[in-house]
Amino acid sequence: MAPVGKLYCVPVMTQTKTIKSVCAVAGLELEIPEYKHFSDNRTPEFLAKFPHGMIPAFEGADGFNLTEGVPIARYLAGRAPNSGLLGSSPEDAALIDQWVHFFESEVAAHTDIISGMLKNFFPYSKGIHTFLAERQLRSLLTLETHLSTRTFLVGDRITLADIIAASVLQRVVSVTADAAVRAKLINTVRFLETIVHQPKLEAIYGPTEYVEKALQYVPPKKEKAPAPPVAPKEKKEKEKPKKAADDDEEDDGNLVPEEPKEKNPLELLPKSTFNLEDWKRAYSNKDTRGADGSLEWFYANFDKEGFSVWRVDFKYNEELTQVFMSSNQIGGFFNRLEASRKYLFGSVGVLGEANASIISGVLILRGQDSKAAVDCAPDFESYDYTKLDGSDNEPDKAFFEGALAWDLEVNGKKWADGKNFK
Amino acid sequence: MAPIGSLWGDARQRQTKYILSAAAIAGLEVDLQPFEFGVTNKSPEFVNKFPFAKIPTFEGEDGFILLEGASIARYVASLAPESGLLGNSIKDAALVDQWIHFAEHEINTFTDYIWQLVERFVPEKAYSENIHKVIAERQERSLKFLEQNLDLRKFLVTDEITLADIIVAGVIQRAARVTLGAAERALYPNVFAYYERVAGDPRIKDIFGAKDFVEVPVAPKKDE
Repeated sequence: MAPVGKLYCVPVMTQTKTIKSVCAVAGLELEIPEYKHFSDNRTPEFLAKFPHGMIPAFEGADGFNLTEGVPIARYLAGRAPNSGLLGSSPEDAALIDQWVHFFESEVAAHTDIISGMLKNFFPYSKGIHTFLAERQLRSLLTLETHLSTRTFLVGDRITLADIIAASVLQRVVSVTADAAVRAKLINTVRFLETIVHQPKLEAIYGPTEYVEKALQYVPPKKEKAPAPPVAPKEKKEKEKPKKAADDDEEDDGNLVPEEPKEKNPLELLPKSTFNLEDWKRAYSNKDTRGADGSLEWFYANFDKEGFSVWRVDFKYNEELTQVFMSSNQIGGFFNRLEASRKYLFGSVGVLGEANASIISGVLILRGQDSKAAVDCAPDFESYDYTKLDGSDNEPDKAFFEGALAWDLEVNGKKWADGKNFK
Repeated sequence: MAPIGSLWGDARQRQTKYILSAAAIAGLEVDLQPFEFGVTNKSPEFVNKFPFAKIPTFEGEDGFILLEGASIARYVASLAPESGLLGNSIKDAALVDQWIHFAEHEINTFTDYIWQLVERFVPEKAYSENIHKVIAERQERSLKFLEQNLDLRKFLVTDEITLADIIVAGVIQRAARVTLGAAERALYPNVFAYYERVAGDPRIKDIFGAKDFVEVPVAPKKDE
């Protein structure tokens, strides 16, 4: 039988397993050409067929092009109506649809973000990690009840819903649903095992990696190349395809710059009692002003021999237009200061309105010389740096506190938006 | 004509709009039940019947129960194949599917996450502007793609409104109430001209309701 078309994909993606499994059950032959993500999907030929440049991408033998994993799977399932993959009535089809949608929005979406954070595609946030894991668990418990009286999700035979469920769940049990959580999901695990061991599908799903303990975030070490450290139980794949696989988008991965060859002079300063990481935590977790606020913490702990506070002002405020664009500029400046993350904290904002605004704020940095902390950013000279003396100088102190509290006002211009470097 | 079933949802909710719009164009009647968030979905009657307790939830006249907004909308559309809501061929249906999936996963997911962040549904005192920024950028990429690939002489799949247009319009309306202020919307003139065409269709105009677009993206709530 001739192949029904070509699928551009990478092996580890859940969508790839889903589409291959559908074809296996439907008795359709699928061609999987050699494909290198990040290069093949940027060629003019690929983009002419698939303008959004994402995978999976299906090129039908008859020239019909389709993107989005689940729609491809559903289309192929529909080409073999006797397979039962889409049920045998509109109601069955709707229920299959419902479960597919449920798995994608109420289960997989959460694994995607959590996994993305663990691999440094997104900045890590413990609060968000916990929040998403809890929401996912709620969904899994609903599923658990449904499966307590069933072998398959809809009807008495395997459908598209079961295939997608298994693809999604196989990932869930290697990222968030650890041994403790799985103790509450006996039927779900039994269901997963049933589907991934179906004779036609076993080779496609491969072994399931059940994680003992839910994956935790480990911050990247600066010395290593951008390698996200994850729990050893994760599948051993080549780094690049794995990163691409878990995200069907083009993630250019970690943009941590390489460690400079000579030792940073700021490393050679005498030890200080002020711990910048503790400060960043205090700033993040406490209110800024008021009793037991982060400012109170700061004044109690700051070491003005080891660190200094600086006012920073953009030199070319007359060029600034939209507030959100100026805010993006600050963000860009902060991105380029990444190499100094250990030595720097910043709170800088856009004050005023569109076409009548300034960029201004404060930096807390290691040592007494601002240049040493900021010259890793190529555009550091676009800003003026003025040392602030907080102890007795009231205007300096008011400026510092306003910048931290995001309520700074300068020459009648009020704080509109800002960024923190922390 | 008799209603095909009952719908629990909120008329302001994007997914409820999908379903009511599909019904309107399909010429079918769906009975929107009274629903009070926090009350109806916590009542024992509701939770016993619909254990997942989320809206929208559909119960057909024949007792058929269905969840998930886009799935309910698609089911409603499938009951009136002559409406053209799912296109006129299997390939049309697949393309309708593709655009719905794109709108929900590559645009709306990001609106939802940003909403959760700025409204502090996430139990962490510090709002994470880094994550906000990264997620907003992903949404921008999708919107740019849509902007460049919209043919304003037709609709997304055929020459008539399909379920894909209804859902993309619903997703755009929501984004323009959360992540896209006036300045951001100005970056996507095709998208918003397309939105006007779809949401302005006389059959569904009242379901989409007033635009209520924001001037600036919804700002993060200040830490209490």
